[in-house]
Amino acid sequence: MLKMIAFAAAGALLLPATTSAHHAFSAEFDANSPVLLKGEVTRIEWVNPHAWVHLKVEDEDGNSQQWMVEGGTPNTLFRNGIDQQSLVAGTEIVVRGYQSKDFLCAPA
Amino acid sequence: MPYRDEARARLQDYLHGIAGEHARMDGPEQQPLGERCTVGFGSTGGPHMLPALYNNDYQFVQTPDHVAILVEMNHDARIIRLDSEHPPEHVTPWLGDSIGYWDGGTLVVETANFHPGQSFRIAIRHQLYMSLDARVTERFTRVGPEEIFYEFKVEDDAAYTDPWRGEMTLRSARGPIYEYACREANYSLPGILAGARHEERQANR
Repeated sequence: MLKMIAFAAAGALLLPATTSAHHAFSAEFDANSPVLLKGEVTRIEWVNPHAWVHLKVEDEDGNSQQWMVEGGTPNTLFRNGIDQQSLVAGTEIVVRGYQSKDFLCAPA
Repeated sequence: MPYRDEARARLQDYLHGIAGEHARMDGPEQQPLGERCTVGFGSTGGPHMLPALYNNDYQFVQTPDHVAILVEMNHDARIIRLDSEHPPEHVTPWLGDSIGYWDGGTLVVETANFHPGQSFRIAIRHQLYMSLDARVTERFTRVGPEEIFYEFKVEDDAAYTDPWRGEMTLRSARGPIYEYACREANYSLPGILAGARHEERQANR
């Protein structure tokens, strides 16, 4: 099973609109590779410097892919009222984001 | 910013090297300190201290002979010795060496002995260069129960034609300050390097 990574665009659930990436977006992600993902959350990493949401995405042919999506920093999310109970495994979500430059990048 | 031409060129060269199509990305050491989780982005830990996009929280701890400032971005702790002297110039800790004294109700902090790695302070909304000769004087004045008036002056003849200053209000916030253990799961650094290797493969095709 492939594991892909993406950065969630501003407005996604875990990324307040006023927040931007801790790390240089343009160095890691491809602004020309937008993705639209729909799937079930399998795991949340509530970690520094940024939270990560893992989800299982099925395509039209029924093939399954694991994705991990970078979100905001826990400190800022918590101050904005978003905590570990705000999004839990099993939730269906839609993510608009940008894929990593290395499409098969699988750091974790 | 009253940069001397050479200092402005150094900053532009540095920015050219970390962003854009000519960015050098051979290894993690070329990443800005904030992205390596070494010290905060830009000048968040300073001195002087400037806000970045988030985690702009500071906690002050006072004792009779020290003042400590815990900087949430990026879990940096400034330790200011009161009524002390700077060590020899070859001692260059992260965030420089800060000594201070009370001028009435104002805490005055003087910082020198800056670390060579902090000459370029890069965040999204502020980017600056300071030479190793820089001296920063900060003044913290509590002007009300909820406010500290923060002023700073940067003197650096090697980098600037004139001293320059800034000021802002620090407002109280509900605690506690949170740990920002940036190294905890810094997946982005391997992601950035993987992106660089991908681009190299593309270029070699």
